[in-house]
Order: sequence, then structure tokens, then C-alpha cells
Amino acid sequence: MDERESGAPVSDTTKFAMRMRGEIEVWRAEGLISSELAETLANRYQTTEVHRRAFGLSRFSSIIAIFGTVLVGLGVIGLVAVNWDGLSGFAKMGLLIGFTTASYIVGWSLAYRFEFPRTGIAIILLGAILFGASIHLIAQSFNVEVNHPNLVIAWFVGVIPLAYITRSKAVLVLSMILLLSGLGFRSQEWTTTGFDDGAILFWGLIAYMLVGGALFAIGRLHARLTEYQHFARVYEIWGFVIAGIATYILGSMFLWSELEYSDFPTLTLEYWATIAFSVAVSGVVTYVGYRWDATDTVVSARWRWEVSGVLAIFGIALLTLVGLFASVSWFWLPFNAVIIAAVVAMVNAGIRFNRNYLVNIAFVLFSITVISRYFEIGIELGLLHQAMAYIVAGVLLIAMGLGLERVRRRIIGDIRNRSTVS
Amino acid sequence: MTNTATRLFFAVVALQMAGLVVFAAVKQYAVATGTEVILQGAPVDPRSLMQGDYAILDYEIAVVPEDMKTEFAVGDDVIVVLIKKDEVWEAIRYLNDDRVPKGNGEVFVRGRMQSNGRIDFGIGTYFVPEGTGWEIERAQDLKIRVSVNDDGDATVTGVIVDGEDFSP
Repeated sequence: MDERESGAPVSDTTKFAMRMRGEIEVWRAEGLISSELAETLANRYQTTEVHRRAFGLSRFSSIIAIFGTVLVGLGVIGLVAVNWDGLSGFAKMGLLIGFTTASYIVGWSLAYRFEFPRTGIAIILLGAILFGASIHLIAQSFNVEVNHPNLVIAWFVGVIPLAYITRSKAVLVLSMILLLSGLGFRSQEWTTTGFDDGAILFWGLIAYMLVGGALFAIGRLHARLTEYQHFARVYEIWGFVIAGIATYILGSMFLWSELEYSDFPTLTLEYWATIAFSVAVSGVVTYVGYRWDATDTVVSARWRWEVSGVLAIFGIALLTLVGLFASVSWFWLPFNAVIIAAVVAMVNAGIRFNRNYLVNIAFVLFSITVISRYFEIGIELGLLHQAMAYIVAGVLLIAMGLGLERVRRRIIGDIRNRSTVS
Repeated sequence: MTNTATRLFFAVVALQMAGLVVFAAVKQYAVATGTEVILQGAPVDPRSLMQGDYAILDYEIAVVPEDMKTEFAVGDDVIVVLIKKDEVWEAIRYLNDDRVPKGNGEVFVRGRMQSNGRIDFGIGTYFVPEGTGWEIERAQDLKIRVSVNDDGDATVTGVIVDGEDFSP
């Protein structure tokens, strides 16, 4: 949850000062600035022990409250699942709807009346979870089909406005989880030929990737809105995670070797509408971003990287389409090349634009891919090919690292020379 | 939080609660006003994380007669006209147009043609209290009470296990 929600202005300043002091230490270690200058700068960004403690406690209380909310929410969902017959269906529905309403009222009162914003928002989040439990309880009481495609989407539609009204990142994260799982349930309606046809997985992944691209684009638009700037990262991360998971799945050797894609599955209007909507949203939002930045050359660089992000995700979707029509068994290779390229690009962008989350996602993606492909290649091609593939890939990365380190040394040398001349 | 945001917050909460009540009311209205039919079925017994244990219900009327299969494409709406024979209601016609008038004592139920050649009526699930699904799974004879409204939409209201209403 964001510190904005606490209403305590000190936390943003403290966070910035703490980060700045860390940077100053790095500059001193790299010899970019002298020890004296480092000390002067560090004093300028001094943070008091009280500020640090307040900031730490504030985040800690928020995380603890959210953990509590998740546990209570899961407990209530478990109670619904028990389907206890000691109470009638209507009594259970009445109780749960009552608890949901009470959670919202208590949460709102704590957050905005009694100034316990973090606990208050956590209880509003509990209300949002109970709302979903209520939907599923009613569906259970009337024996609505299990995994009905509309239940989770209805939950999402009910919760997303609350994220914007309360400006809560936690509620937005819940909304994103609901949107993506809701789309998963809706995907039952994307084809009339059923899921027995292997090709439908590929078409589904294409749709998911385009949705990911749209979420990323929406996130970048939020970065321009003062009041919702803290939502940007949530959208960006979800966009990248969807594209990453889809690319990872498509990089599986088994997937391309075991399936036949000769039949074009019957895709419904809803599938194409999802595709069209995602592309349209990406286009419109990116255009709005362009118009926003049009007069400022500095921010137009930002726009370029945003467009690159959207186009990269769309490019992977296009690659999937090409692979689908080519229908060749080696098509898992380009997706692994994409993963390696994405890992390098994310690490680069993360360091360049000071976005640690990109570096973290890159590390997770790299580790999971390397470990799983290790076993896949070993099983499919034999241990010798596996060993050769990893040695070649490893040598390439070491060479790339060496090249990058040389570039870095040259840049630092140039900076030193310039400061000596001046 | 500003006054507008507060009003919006409680408006959304009210809409959520109204949505829940409408959802329950629509289902209850369909059950209360629908015609109750009993269908012959067969169960399986899995678990949902959100809604708990349930029995998957299959229906004899879900199988389109061989000579009519070519009349329905996958994804098509199928109207199954039922008539009561003894205790159980049986299919007498499979149509793709619900404007065909119903005969005396007939009820129709609406479904959608699946790729496996069976019709899905949206009544394939019956939720049971935890740990009681085995009673349905082991049934020698399973019949399902279904409420069908005038539009042909069906809701499961109960099951009859070996001649007795299921009550764990």
C-alpha cells in the first residue's frame, strides 16, 4: 500500500532522502565524487531517526493489516465453501451481505474519520473480498454452474471503482487479480470448439498478451496523473508479468513438438472483441500520452520507451501468430531468445530509469526460465545438447557482461577527465 | 477524503449490495415462478476452492438423438421440449427455434450445443455440504429437481438419491 494513503507527507520526503543517501554512497565508491562532497550531500539529505522509524512502522502496519485482511478473507471464503447446512441459504446470504457492508463502513470510518488510514483501507479491502465471497455464496445457493464465466468479472466490476475512490494500491492489485482470473473464466466463451484443440491455448495467449500491452499502456498514462501516479507501477508490473508468463509458456519445447495446429479453431465474437478492445485501448492511451508530452522534449523520451514497451509486447503476440501458422517444432527457440532479450532490456531499463521492480522481475524470469528449460532440453534433446546449449548461452552472456563493463569504465573515465579539465 | 469521494464510495458500496440482492432475487424469482421438472441424471464428485464440494450432474436429455445431430452446430442454442412420463420428464423434441408453440403439458428447457455432442443447460452443478458428496456419487438412481421458467432457463433446486430427497 502506498504511503500516500497514510496522509503523512513526511514519508515521501524520508523515502527520497534515504534513497538519495544510498546513491551518494555509490557515487563515492565509484570515485565520481570526493568523500568531502559525499558528506556535504549526505548532510543535505539528512533523515532523522524518528522519521525513519515512523516511515518503517507505517509500512509495517500497512503490510500486517493487509496480511490480516487476506487471512480473514480466505477464512470467510473457506466458510462459504464448507456450505454448512445449519443455516438456510438466505440466512447465510443475509449474514455475509451484512458483514460486507459493515466492513466497508468500519473501514471508511477508520480511514477517514479516525485517521487510521492503513488499517481502514485494509478493512475496505476485506469488504471487497467479502463482496466476492457473497457473489459465490449466492451462486452456490442457487447451484449456478461452478466456474461460471461471469462471477469473477462481476466481482472485478464491483471492486475496481473502489480502488480509484480510495486510491488504494492494495484494492487495485485485487482488481488486477480479478480482471485476469475473470478473463480466464471468460475464455471459456472464446471458442465454440472446446479446449481439446491445442491451438486454442496459443490464441488465448495472444489475447492475454494484448491485454497485458493495454494494461502497460494504461499504467504509463497513470504516471502522468498526479493523484494516481502510484497506480502506474501496478499496471506496468501486471502488463509485463502477463507478457512474461505467456512468453515463458510459449518457450516450452514440449508445447511446439506435441501439438498439431492445422485446424483453425472457431473463435467467437467475444474473443475478437477482446483483441480489438485491447489494441484500441493501447492505441488511444498511447496517443493521449504522446499529446500530453508533445511540447516537452525531455518527456518525449519517456513516451518513446513507453511505446517500445507496448510494441514489444504486441510483437511477441505477432510472433506467436507467425509460429502458429508456420507450425514448426523449433519455434520455441525465438521465444527463449525473446526472454533473454527481455531480461537484458529490463535490467538495463531498470537501472537506467531507477525502476528496481524491472530488475527483480528480470531475475525471477531468468531464473525460472533457465531452471525449467534445463530439464526440458535435457529430456528432449539429451544431456550433451543440453550441456552445449548452456555453455554457449553462458559464454555469450559473460561476453556481453565484459563488453558492458568496458563501456561503463569508458563513461566513468570520460566523467573524471571532464571534471579534471574543468 | 472529499465529500464527493465519500458519496461515490458509499454509492459504489450501495450498488454492490444492490447487485447482490438483485442477483439473489432474480434467481429466487426464477425458482419460485418456474415449473418444477424431475430429470434423470448421473453424478461425479469434485471440489471448488471458492464454493466447496459439488456434484457434477449429467442428464439423459443432454444427448441429441443420432438422426438430429446434424441439425445443430457447436455453440447453437437447442430447445428441448419435455413432457412428464410417470415421475420423470423426458425429451420429446429437439428444436433450434423457441417460437414453436408448446403443446399441452409441455415444458421447454434451453441449452447450448457443446463440441462433445452434448447439450449444456447450465445446470451441471449441485453444491453439497462438505464431505457429503459421496452420498450422491454412490447413488444407484439419481434424479434432479429443476425449476424451468417461461424462457427455458433452468435452476437446480434439489436432487433425489435412490428415491429420497437428498438431505445430508
